[in-house]
Amino acid sequence: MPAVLEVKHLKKTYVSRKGAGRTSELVAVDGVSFEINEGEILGFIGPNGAGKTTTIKMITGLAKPTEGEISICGHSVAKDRVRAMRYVGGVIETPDMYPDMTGLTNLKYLVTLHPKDTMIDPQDATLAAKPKKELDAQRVEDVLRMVGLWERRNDLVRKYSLGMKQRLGIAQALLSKPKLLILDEPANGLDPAGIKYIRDLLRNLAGVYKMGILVSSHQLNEIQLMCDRVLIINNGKIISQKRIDELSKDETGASNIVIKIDKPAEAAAYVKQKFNVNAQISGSDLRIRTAMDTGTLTKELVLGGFNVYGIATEEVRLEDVFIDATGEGK
Amino acid sequence: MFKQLYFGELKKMFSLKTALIFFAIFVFGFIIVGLSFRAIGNLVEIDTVGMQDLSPMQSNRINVSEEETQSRLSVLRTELDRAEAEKAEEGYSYYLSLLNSMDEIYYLKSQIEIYEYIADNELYHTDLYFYDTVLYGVSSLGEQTATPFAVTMLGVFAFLLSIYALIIGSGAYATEMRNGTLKILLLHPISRNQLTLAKLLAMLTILTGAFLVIFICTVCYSYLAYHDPGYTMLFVFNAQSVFQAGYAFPLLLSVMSLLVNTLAYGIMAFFFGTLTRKRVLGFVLPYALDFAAPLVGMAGLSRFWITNVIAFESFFGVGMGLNTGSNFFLSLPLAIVYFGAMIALSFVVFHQRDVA
Repeated sequence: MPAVLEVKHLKKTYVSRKGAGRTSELVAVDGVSFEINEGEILGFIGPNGAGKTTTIKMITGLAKPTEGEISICGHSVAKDRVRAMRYVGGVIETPDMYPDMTGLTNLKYLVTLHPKDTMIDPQDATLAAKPKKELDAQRVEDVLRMVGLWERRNDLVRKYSLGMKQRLGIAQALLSKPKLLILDEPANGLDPAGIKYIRDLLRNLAGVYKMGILVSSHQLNEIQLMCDRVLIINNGKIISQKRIDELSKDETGASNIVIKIDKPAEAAAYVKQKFNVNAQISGSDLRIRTAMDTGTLTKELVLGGFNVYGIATEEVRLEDVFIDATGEGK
Repeated sequence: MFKQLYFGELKKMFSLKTALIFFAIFVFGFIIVGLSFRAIGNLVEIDTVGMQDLSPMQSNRINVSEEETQSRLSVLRTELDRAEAEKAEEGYSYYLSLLNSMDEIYYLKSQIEIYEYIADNELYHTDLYFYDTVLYGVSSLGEQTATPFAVTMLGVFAFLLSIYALIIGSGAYATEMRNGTLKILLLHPISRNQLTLAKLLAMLTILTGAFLVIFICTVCYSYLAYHDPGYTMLFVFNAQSVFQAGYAFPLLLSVMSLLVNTLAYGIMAFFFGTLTRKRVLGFVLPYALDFAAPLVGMAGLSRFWITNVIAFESFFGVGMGLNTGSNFFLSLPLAIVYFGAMIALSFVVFHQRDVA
């Protein structure tokens, strides 16, 4: 899968003057490298002030990196930002729109800033023949319906709730059918139904339209449900990079397996002898840390003469991984 | 792409509400000032004016007999006929010929008005006092009402337009930064320089439009009230000099200098708003520069000061007079350098800046 976003050794240093020629340096982002592939949703998490937003601002060209390279669909942001931005849609920090315009007029204005060829499939001749105005109007309607705002399109944005602004922000980001979608706290202000709606929408965009999506959020359970991969950043450095489906595994590939079994003490001894792993007993549960999959383990235990009533990989919440990695809460 | 950007900026910057409020103030001011001058003209009695606090340089005394009045009137009327015939022949180039010379028709008309007033009221062998050629009280009657009226209005136009320019210019970037919409805008495939250019051009377009609206209203009003748009436009836009020095000057040049001033204030507000990211500073700093002008004047550097070099009207006799040592050929290049630098810096500053 080709990468839609490649970030290499990104660094951002803020120099603040303290008078009399003395300066102090603050390294906000320090050697961050990662990439996002087509159709992949990457969660970007970290404590407040870890450098998430600074990184996103550098990716979108709002801030200039001190060092490092960023390329979007092969176009360098530093050298050709305008070209690179053709493939990007996003909401940064807060979904800010022109408050004195309606949702519809906001989008109608913003859609004119996209060139025609980013809006259409080059293979589709019927679309290419249509005037830009017509395509724009259609696209605006499509995205408004997509985020469920079509009914409220004629309300002024200043009267929108935060959740509606969030939806409008996402609609705006989708206008140009971007290859890379960047969303900062997209679930902020949304009600539970809205969160699920947006989550399904994003999964759909990644699955069907092959968008690469970067989601930065503090709502870790949301990230866990939505993303394919997660990036944990702290003090400007990436401290952990994991696939969501491998969250429960550690570096050696081991994860905790909990087994309900009839003779836990004997089973523990059996496992110790056979696979040389320590097992903990709690009531009728046996807890083993191993890289073996549950199927093999069940077969071995049954063959060893035990009754296995249940077996499952212990679920690891992203929250725990996050707190573990960042050392927060200690 | 640039076209869309430009029209988008135009739409964002032009707030109908603000424009209507300004226009309402303008019309209201026009009517109030006009009515009050008309009312004053009817109320003021010639003998209540007296010398008041006019300096001897500015005042004139007339004390004439009936015969003198009649002979003066016939001479003045002949002269006026000749001058008007000349004006009709020359068309509007007549105004250009007035550079640094007295507007003869205006002078003759005001003189005729004075003597007619004397004749109508039989004010013979009485001491009457004048402010330049315009008699207080008498000046308020008939056509001469335009003069003090226009002096007041010129100040109102310049003030209204400069305020409007500051509002539009200071908000160009600062508002988008405050609202956070700049982040959204820069996520689109547009270059920062294009955006700055679009904003600058949109601002200049709106200010030129505002200026034209006020200008056209003035001309229409002049035509309706005084039945001669050309002649009374001269009053309205050159009134201060007409009033103070008895001079009249090229119509177009003084009108243009008001436009230049408006655009210059817009550019200053645009620059400071972009530089400081604060709309209020974009609004206040141009006025601060203006208020600092007297201080700079104390250091003898008046003629180099930014808000002085754009006072082009002073070279054509309108306004508060020339700054010491200043001349058109010093001010023009200085203005180009100052405002060129402000525009260029706006581009550079915004291009280099991280958007917070």
